[in-house]
Amino acid sequence: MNYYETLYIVHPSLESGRLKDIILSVEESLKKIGGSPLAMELWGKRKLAYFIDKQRYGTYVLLHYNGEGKCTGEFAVELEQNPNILAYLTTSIEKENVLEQAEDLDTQIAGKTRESQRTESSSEPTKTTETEPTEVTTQENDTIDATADEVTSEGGDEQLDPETETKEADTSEVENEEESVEVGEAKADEEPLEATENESDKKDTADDEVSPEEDIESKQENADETAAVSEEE
Amino acid sequence: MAFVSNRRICIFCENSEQKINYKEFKTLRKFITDQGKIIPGHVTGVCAKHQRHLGRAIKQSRNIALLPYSVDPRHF
Repeated sequence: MNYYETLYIVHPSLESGRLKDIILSVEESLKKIGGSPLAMELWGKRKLAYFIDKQRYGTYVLLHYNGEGKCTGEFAVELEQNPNILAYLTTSIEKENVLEQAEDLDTQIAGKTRESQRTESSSEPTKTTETEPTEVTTQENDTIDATADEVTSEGGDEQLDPETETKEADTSEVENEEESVEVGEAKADEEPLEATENESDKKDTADDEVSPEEDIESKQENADETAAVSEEE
Repeated sequence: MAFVSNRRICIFCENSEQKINYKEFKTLRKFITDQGKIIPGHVTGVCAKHQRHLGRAIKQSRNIALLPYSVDPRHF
């Protein structure tokens, strides 16, 4: 006769009544196999370290029992076939480590539900402040969508289409006018620019034209100076 | 010059009352990294015997979702 402990995770959507049924059914299946449950401890709903069957939370239940070596394998098959149990782990323990059943199942479930209610009530004010505005906005959006749907359904698509087409035509005409105005402005902007460019080109050419004359004058002055120097000699 | 040892003493050898169990995941969390990897014994100072027990307990805790197998470092 060996002593074993099994820690299994029950689906988090199961409430107190259905959770009790699951735990009792697991114990009954263990008794059928040949084991005898010694102690049960409910850890309560905890956050899992990773997702199991798309579930973020799970209710941990610790079960101590004794039996022959073959009962662990059959018990594992029972837990594997139960869809409400997400995961399980069976280990062998010493006789000294077996828990003493301090409280029965009902009081443990009631205590865990109270703890969960306390945690929910302590975290409620923040949740309500966060959730209420979003709900209101969603409702408003729903009403707006509903009114929009009603308007479209009442008006009909055929009646609305010509108006929208005329509106689109008006807007396209306005856009064309605006484009033409913009093009004219752009042309007006471009013309002075071209004029200024031409003026600047003319100035450049004038500067180029002036510079040879100055060169000729400077050359003439140099020639006069050389002639004066030669006369002095 | 006297020989001065820098070798740390295993905390589980010092405290014989502190047992290594997969259910005490808060204690085991000290011996894994933020990514969920098991820290080697020469870093934490745990002796070889208790490092074997630690590794087994951490793997059991991972199996029952008390500890993560791996954590994406981009989520830190």
